[in-house]
Amino acid sequence: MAQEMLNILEEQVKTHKVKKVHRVSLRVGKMMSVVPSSLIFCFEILSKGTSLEGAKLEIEEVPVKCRCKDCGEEFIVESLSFFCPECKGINLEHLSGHEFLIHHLEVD
Amino acid sequence: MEIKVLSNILKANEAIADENRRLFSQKRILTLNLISSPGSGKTSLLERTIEQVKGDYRLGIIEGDVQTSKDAERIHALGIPVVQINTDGGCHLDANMIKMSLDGLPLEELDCLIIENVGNLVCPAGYQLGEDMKVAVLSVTEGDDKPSKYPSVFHESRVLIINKIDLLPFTNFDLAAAKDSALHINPHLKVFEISCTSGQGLDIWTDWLTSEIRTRSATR
Repeated sequence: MAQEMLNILEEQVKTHKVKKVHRVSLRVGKMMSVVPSSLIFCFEILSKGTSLEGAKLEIEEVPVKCRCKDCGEEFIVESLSFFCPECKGINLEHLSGHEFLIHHLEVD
Repeated sequence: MEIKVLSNILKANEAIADENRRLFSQKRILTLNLISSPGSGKTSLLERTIEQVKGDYRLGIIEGDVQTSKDAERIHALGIPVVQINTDGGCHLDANMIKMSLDGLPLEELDCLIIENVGNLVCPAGYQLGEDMKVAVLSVTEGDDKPSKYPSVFHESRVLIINKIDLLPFTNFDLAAAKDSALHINPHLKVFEISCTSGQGLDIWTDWLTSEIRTRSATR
């Protein structure tokens, strides 16, 4: 995952002719099972000697949010229980919590 | 200066997974992605499933392992087309590995392709391969708290197979608690309780699987 992220970042650096990347801001859904400290650790190792060396990874965790298709209730899923708290329905539309995005970069 | 990127980190994988999915759909092949911890009995489940289904439907198997072709040899012995992928340290299969391995399978002749992922309950859940469904396998020797510890796999799967139920009397595995916790994470989960050793519950699983194969071959 860190390698795939690095590939996209290197492409961005080339496209925008960036001199230095200071910060990389990520949005990671809670359902993605990504461990922030491991991702940062891998990124630091893989980015050595690339245009991303020294860039700081900032990871914002995105909660799991659903909408009940039966009653329309929108709610944050707590303790991984995928039932509507209003009507106990199980037909849920997932609004967030599955993303694994590079949101933005702070660069020179 | 700030550059907005908004790029999905797994997009390269997902693009190839979509390609694979289109190909399987065009050939009307039902594709399963089998995920579990190491040692839960995925290969035994494959062997028993093949024995019961191969007279009526044509199966193909992709075996994912870190090293060795031991699993592929077990499947090959049953006379079923099989391709081994060694990830050489990698902890999951990705869509490109599947795409590259398809040359080794007679796709035109298959009704169902089963991909046995690398034994791991974490990363395989995040990598789409182009499958119709993920099938999670959990054995009663592992502990009934697996679904709550590794929720993604159970949330992403369509089916949960609880294996080795012949060993229930010798473990403290709470079958009801395991099912309950998996169904909280995914209320749509279809659960089968089986033993590959005694054969208990296998018929119910293979009846369901073959009805899915029939549905798949009837629709594009």
